[in-house]
Amino acid sequence: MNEKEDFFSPNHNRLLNIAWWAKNIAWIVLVINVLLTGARVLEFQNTENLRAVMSNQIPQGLLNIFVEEPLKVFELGISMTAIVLRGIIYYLVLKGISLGLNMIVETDINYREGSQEGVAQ
Amino acid sequence: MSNEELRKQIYGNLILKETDELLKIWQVNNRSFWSDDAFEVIKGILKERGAEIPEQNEPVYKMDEETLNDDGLDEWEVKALDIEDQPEFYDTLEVITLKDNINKTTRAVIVFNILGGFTAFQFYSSMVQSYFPNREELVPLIYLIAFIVTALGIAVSIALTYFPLKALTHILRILMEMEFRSRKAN
Repeated sequence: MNEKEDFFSPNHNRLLNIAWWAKNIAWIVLVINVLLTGARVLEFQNTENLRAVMSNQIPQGLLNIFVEEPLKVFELGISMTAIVLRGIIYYLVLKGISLGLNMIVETDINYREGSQEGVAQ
Repeated sequence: MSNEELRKQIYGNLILKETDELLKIWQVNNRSFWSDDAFEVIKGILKERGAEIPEQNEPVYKMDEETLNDDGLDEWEVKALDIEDQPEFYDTLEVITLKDNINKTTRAVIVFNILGGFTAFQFYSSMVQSYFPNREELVPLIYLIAFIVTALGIAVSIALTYFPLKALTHILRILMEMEFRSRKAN
């Protein structure tokens, strides 16, 4: 590692910092999207309750809504999956950016080491 | 990466393979594809599984062409995983796993968009229908328009996710190959 540190420039540090942030933000984004999936269920129930109140009906529980209108289960499932998939995609992209930046730094350092060895010989 | 860590990584990779597959690798004895460490690990796994260890063929030291193994990995990718001189700033296995996960997600996105198209079709057909109230004779046309709009929406939505993700896997692959070749340049 000491040998590698000799070839380190501020640009390498900047790239590694961005890679570190991207890796950690990836996890945060994933967790937020999973939480948003739960929030979507609550939002769905609130909307259904509001609709029931506005049409002078008694608000029902989630299970009753699903028994009466099964298509709504499908719709809710689709919108929840969309949120989870969005989270997974953001996670993968950020993780890819992080790994890509690390690979760029590693490649550059390998070349610098190679050229240094060439000069030494 | 220490020798022990390297062996652990090879072990983690090979333990996922079926016994038949490991027996095949063991018998073919392709030394240009698999390192000596990998063969030791394979022998260990086969012993653990109680398999009878067969005689190995004559070792193969040269590959005629760039080949793909059963995991869809290129020869250089297997070597990059297998080689003792591992990178310090990233994990080779992590990149390969990420590429695999991106490919799986891409397929999931396609399936999800097609399923989501059913709800979109409902929405578009009721929207188009609202422009032509009480026009029963136009119902087939309304459904056709809604279908075309939905299909276009699905296609655009798939393309917007599919191409960037595919590009990312290729970029990662190229970067890893560049890094791997830069190690050889030293």
